[in-house]
This record gives sequence, structure tokens and C-alpha cells, in this order.
Amino acid sequence: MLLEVRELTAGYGDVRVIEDISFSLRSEELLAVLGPNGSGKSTLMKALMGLATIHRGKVLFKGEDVTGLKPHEKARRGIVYVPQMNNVFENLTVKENLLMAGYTMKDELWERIKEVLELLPPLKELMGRKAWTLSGGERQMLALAMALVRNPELLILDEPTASLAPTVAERIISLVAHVKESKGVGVILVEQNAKLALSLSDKALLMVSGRQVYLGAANELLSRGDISSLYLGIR
Amino acid sequence: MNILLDALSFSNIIVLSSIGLTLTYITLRIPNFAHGDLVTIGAYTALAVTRLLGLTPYAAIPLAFIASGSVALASYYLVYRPLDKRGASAVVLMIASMSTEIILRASLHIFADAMTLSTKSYWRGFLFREDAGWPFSYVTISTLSAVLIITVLYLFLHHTKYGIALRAAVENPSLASAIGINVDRARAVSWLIAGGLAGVSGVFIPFRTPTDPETGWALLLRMFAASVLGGLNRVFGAILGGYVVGLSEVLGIYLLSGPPIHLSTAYRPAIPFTILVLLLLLAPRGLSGIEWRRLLCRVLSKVSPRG
Repeated sequence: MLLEVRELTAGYGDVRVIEDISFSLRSEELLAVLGPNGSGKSTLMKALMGLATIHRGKVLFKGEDVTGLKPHEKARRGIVYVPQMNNVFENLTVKENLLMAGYTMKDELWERIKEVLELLPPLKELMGRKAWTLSGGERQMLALAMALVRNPELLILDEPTASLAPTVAERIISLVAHVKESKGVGVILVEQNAKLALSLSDKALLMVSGRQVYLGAANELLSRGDISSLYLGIR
Repeated sequence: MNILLDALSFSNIIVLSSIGLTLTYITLRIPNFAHGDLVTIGAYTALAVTRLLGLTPYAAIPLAFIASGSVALASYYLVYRPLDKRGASAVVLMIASMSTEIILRASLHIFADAMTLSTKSYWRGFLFREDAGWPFSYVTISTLSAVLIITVLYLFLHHTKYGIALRAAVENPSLASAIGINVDRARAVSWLIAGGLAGVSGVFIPFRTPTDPETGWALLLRMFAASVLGGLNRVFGAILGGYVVGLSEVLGIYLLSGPPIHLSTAYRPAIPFTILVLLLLLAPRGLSGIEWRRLLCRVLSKVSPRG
């Protein structure tokens, strides 16, 4: 098993935002984390990465207990997190951002950057530009490229298509699915566009008010009209 | 000519110290009120090297970097880091910074008195004289030091992996942490460099003005002005801000104290701040926030006749 989350309760300081979340994920599996705004999806991602306060529960990565590890220690084990906001270094150039993404890598870094640029060719033309000058789509592309440079074993993506044009959003999501298949990466994807996410996912976790209300196969959730119409707006 | 050289040497001091002040501001988002005392520590390190070892004050430059850098590092680890980890607000961190300033300044007074008693020489109001056997003036040395330090710092921050990581860590700590950068260490290095630069600037102060434990504190407002003018989020903006503040203060009072205005030199510190307020009204994000290329294009398009 790549990742096991057991009865995770987490939040910020003394405030508990999510309670008793449990799920597991294998390599080459894509888990869609869905739910209305304020349901605690982003907090769950932050807790997995060590950026939120964990009150109770365990996070096991490849059998090792990583619950209390610092974010940079988790990153060095192959867990890669792309936050929803502030996911690139604005004052650094695209090239510097990619270099920083592979901060823990040594000789193979440039080879990796070249491979990733083949997957995301528009970035080749933007290497000297500061990240703050990029458009929303270019910025998300850079954030994804930074994640891929790090050769992740587990990729955690928090709403990578937020406020993007539908065509750009579909391109990003299909690229994520391609990476999962070709590189054998486990992916946790938080996504507002439930239909798009479920069409590519193996499993789904539905959260409401900080608790999980559904965990199971993605296609099964689509067929559960009661839940999907109530919480996801899918009819 | 002498007034220009004096203005340049004063500006070098402000530039070196305000680069450090900006660096510490970026890391914790608080103004470090103790930064002026780190400058004074540099000056006292140079005095100790001349009085106790009989060397030229220039020999103290590396030692001043280490001394002030170490004090800055200690204050980060003992005061700011524990408070930041406990989620202290900006106001709490600022009050901690003021308290640290008072402690450091009091310690400098105690040190000056203790050294005066033990060496039977006065450790207050001291001045360094130009060394007759030294081929360069202190203005030349301070200018060369400023140019060299700024170049090395630029190369470090823009062309080394660790330097870029340091910029990344101070800009976006949570993302930097998530990609494997040890943010805590990067912040500590920033504080070490910031303190070190303050120390180096302190070595040059006694060449132009009598120095005592209050000197750095008295200069602090000029450093803040230079940082704000340069754009608080831009390390190298402080260079521009520092030269504007330094040159305007020295040259401004020279021009205004002569005929026909005959302004009293007591108003000297008001000059850079008047310029600061006026410039901020025109460019609220500081001088480095101005898009110079666009501004130049606009000016040229108005000046040149339409074809």
C-alpha cells in the first residue's frame, strides 16, 4: 500500500476542521477528493503534507509512519504537494522555479526538467519569465511541472484547475491521468469539477463539514444519484 | 569634492545596513528594531581590533561580519523563531524586536564602560583616523566593500542553488518547505547575512562620525527609510533607497545651509524623510516598484514628435 490514512483528525492550532478521515491508496491509483466549499478538503491535503495541526490519527507512507514528519522530510520521501494558491514562487523565473522543484535532486535534475518540458512544451518559451507575469493557465502548468520534476511517488493536487478555462482545465487533468498511468504515481486530486475528476479517478472520497460521507469506487459515486445530486450538483 | 566623498561614504553605510534590514523584514514580516545595534557591534568590533590587537580597522571587516552576524543569528534562534513557532502576531514580534534592541543597546553601554575601565582608554565617542601608510582612503575602501559585497550577494542569491532556495524560502515558506527546502535553516542564514552586513557597515562609521553605543540606534530611521524607499520586499531595492537617503541627507544640508536659505544643520535628518514621503506619494511600492521601462517609454512618447 502506498498511503494509509487512519482516523485522521486535524485543523489549525486548537481548531479541528476534519474528523476521523480514513482511506488508502495504491500506486497507479487516482483518488478524487470531492465536497462542497468549506468541507475540509484543502485542510486534509495540508494535514497529509504536515502543514496543518494533526490532533489524532496516523498517516503511513509505504508502511512508514510519517504523521509527525516535517513537510521537507515528507517531500524527500517522494510525497509531492501542489497547493491551490501560491503554488509557484512569484519572484523567481520559470527556470528558477523548476530548479527549486528539484532542490533535493542532484545529477539527474536537468534530465528530469527536459523530460517534463516535453510533457508541457509551452513552458519552454517561458523559461526566463518571472512567475508573476504568467497567466493563470501557465502558472498552473508551471506548478504541475514543478511537481513532476520531483519524480513523485505520491502526488497531492489541490484544485489544479481552479479558475481556468474549461479547455485548459481538461488538458491539465488529462496530463495528470497520463502521468499516473505512465509513471505509476499515486494521485490524490481535490477538484471542484466533480464530473471531470470522477471520469478519470479510480476511487472517490466525498467530504461534508469535515467528515467523510462516501469512500469507494468513483463510478459507483456517479451512479449514487442521492449523494451526487445533493453534494456535487451532478444530475 | 570632499562633500561628495562624504555623501558617498555615508550612503555606503546606509546601503550595506539597509540591505540586511530588508532581508530580515522579508523573512519574518517585521521591522527589526535591533538592526541599528548590530551596526554598532560592527563598529565596536573594529575598535577592539585596533585597540587590543593594534591592527588597522579594515582588518576587522570579516570579524565584524561574524560578530554582528552571530548576534543576529542568536536573536533569531532565542527570540523570533520560538515566538514565530508559537504563532505570535506581527505586533508581538515587533515588541520582541524593540525589547531585543533595548537589551542589546544596554549591553553595548555596559561593554563600553567595562572596556573603558579595564583598558584605561575611552570607549565612547571614538573616531578612526586615516592610516597614513594605507594607500586607499576609507571612502575608497567602503565603496569597494559595498560594490564587492553587493556583487557577491547578487551572485549568491541569483546564481547558486542555495541562494535561489533562500529567496524561495523567504518568499513562500510553506511551498518551499513542501518541496524539500529547510525553511528554518534558510531563515537562519538570512539573519546571519543580514547581521553580518550590518556589522561590516559599522566598521566604516567611526571614520566619519564619533561613535558610541547609541550610534546604530540613531541611524536606524535612515535604514528604515532606505528599505521602504527601495521597496520593502526587494533586497536590492535597498541599494537604490540607501543611495537616495545618504546622498540627499549630506548633499541636501550642504546646499540648504548655504546662501540664500541658511537652514540650520539641525534639520539635516528631516531632508531624507521629506524626500521619502514625496517619493512614496509618487511611487507607493518604492523605487524598485516603478516600471522604469514603461515610464521611459511614456516620457519618450510625450517628448518625441508624432510621426
